[in-house]
Amino acid sequence: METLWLALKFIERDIKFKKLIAALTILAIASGVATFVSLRIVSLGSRMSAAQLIEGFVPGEVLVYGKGIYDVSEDVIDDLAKIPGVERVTPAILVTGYLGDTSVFMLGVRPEDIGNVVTGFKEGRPFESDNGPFLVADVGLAKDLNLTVGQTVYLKASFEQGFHEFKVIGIAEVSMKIQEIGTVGGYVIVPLHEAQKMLGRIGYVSMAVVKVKPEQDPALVKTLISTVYPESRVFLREEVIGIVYKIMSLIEGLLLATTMVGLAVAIFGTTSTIMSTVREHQREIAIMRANGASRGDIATIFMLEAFVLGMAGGIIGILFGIAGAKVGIEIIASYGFIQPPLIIEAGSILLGIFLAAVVSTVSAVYPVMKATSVRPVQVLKNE
Amino acid sequence: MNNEVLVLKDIWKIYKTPTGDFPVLKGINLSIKESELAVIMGPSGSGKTTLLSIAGGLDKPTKGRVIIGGIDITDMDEEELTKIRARKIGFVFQSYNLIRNFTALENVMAPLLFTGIYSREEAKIIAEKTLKLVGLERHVNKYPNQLSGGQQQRVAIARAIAPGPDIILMDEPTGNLDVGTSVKILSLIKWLNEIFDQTFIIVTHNPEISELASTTYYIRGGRIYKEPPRTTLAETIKELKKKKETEEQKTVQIEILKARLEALKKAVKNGKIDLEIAKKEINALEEKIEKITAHISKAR
Repeated sequence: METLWLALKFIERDIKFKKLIAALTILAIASGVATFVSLRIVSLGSRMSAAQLIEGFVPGEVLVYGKGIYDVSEDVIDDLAKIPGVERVTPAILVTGYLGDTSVFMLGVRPEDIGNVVTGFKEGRPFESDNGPFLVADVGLAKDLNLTVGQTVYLKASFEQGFHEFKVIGIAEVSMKIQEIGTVGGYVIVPLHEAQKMLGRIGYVSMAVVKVKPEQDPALVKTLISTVYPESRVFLREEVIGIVYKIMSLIEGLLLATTMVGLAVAIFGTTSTIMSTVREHQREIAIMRANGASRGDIATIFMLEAFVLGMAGGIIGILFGIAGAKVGIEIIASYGFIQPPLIIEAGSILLGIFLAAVVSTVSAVYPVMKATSVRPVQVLKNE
Repeated sequence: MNNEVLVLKDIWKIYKTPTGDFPVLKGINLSIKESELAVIMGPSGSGKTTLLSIAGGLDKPTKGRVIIGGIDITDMDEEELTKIRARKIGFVFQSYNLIRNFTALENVMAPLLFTGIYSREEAKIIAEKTLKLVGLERHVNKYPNQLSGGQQQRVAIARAIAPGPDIILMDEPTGNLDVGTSVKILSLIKWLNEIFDQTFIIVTHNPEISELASTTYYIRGGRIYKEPPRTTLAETIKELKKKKETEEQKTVQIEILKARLEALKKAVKNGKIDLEIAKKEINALEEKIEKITAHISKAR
């Protein structure tokens, strides 16, 4: 403990002597730590936001698709509802289309399922029949296109030649949606049968969203559905989230590889600083050794110097990282796809501290080896 | 009071060089008693610094035993030697060798803390009192670059005596100081020796320092003597000259002179140098060549 105090005195003066070099080293460490911390914070927020989005988008825990597109038979829907553990099944058609010249997502659902895909009506009412040219527009889309209840609009699926006339009967907050994805401007909901007619696939839907009873294990229901309908493609909602996570992990991995370069630069910079300190104090190391300092005492001084620089860089890096993450989240949110929250958890702070400690320790290894190898007899040879 | 604090038994130090073994110390035997102020005198290259480094446990002898305070340190490993140095040996160097990152107080505290015996408070009290002892109580918080050479050497002495070592080894302690400051430092050393019975070994080439000594040793060519070696410097030079003056060297000398003569004659011929000026030089060169040639013939 006593030599630790002595080491701190030594470092204090050393840093005062070389303010600029110390500041640059701290900044190098800070930049490495900051990129890591901000990446983690952005990643946590984005993952949480993406998960919430998918959970909101999919009104059930199990998704059933056919082999191709629009080939889940409505007969199957009735059978799915009879499988033990299933609370309800929402058949749906989700297809891109045009409302006038605005690109939209067209969602076809049964009148009885409309409550599963919207959270509330702002104006008007839901359609009550599976037939009829009636349309419910999403609040955002209605605002963008100045749609009003009672207005006549023209809708078509992407591949169709001609438009169909529809009447806006309601404006509602659609929950089963991914906001403003790509060039798509918003969501419209039409009766399922009308959507089937537009696609020429009467009796078929693109997917069935299965809501599992609260006490049931969704994985078990998925297995049952896969057993009963081996031709179908069945996914758990968590698996969809998992796929999204995997894609995000891949992107994060690539970013992480880039930030590794930053960390390598930080390690190199710190090593260089400590090495120059060791070279500068070579004679003094020999003096201290001649005066009874052990190799451990010498190692303590330079290890501590690297640690002090590392911790200073770590703390600044954490602050920079949080600021960077805030900017990153704002940029992501400005795309309108997801709204990641700024989650500053203890793990992110600890990661920053840990990284700073690793950078400083790794950086100090070689200089400390050099410092402890200085022989005390050198003090006399230099006279 | 007659305890031996340092005993060197048949110390040899041989350096291996590409051209062969080079012995620096050749069987040194030395015994320093408690409260002795021993001065080891010797010219540069006589091996006095090597002897000091071995006596202080900074270097190992090729052969022989080193005993400090009754402990044989010859076969100790580096960490054991570090502990011995911390508690039993103090060093004072020609260039003061203070740690520039530490204040005077911290410089004196450092070896105390390195012993692992003293707490920070205890080390501070001892360091403050030791600095007072050497007359630096008003400079405790100054850094080495804020002190004069004499003050820095006083700090170095305080640093050496603070842990209460068995022996203090000094390498040319006044080598970097002016005459007035040197006297003050030497009187401080003598005072510490007399008042505190502190044992000192001073290696120096300054004969004036030996006036302080209770014992003076002389080191020449890796050997130590109690009396000054009788051969004078002039005799040594003559001896060396005699050894080196071989026929081969003389022949080389003639060749060089002949080359210079030819060049001079050529310069005269080409009008690069005035004949009158060159004539005397040509004659002198021819006479010198003749003289050396005659010397070689005579030697044969």
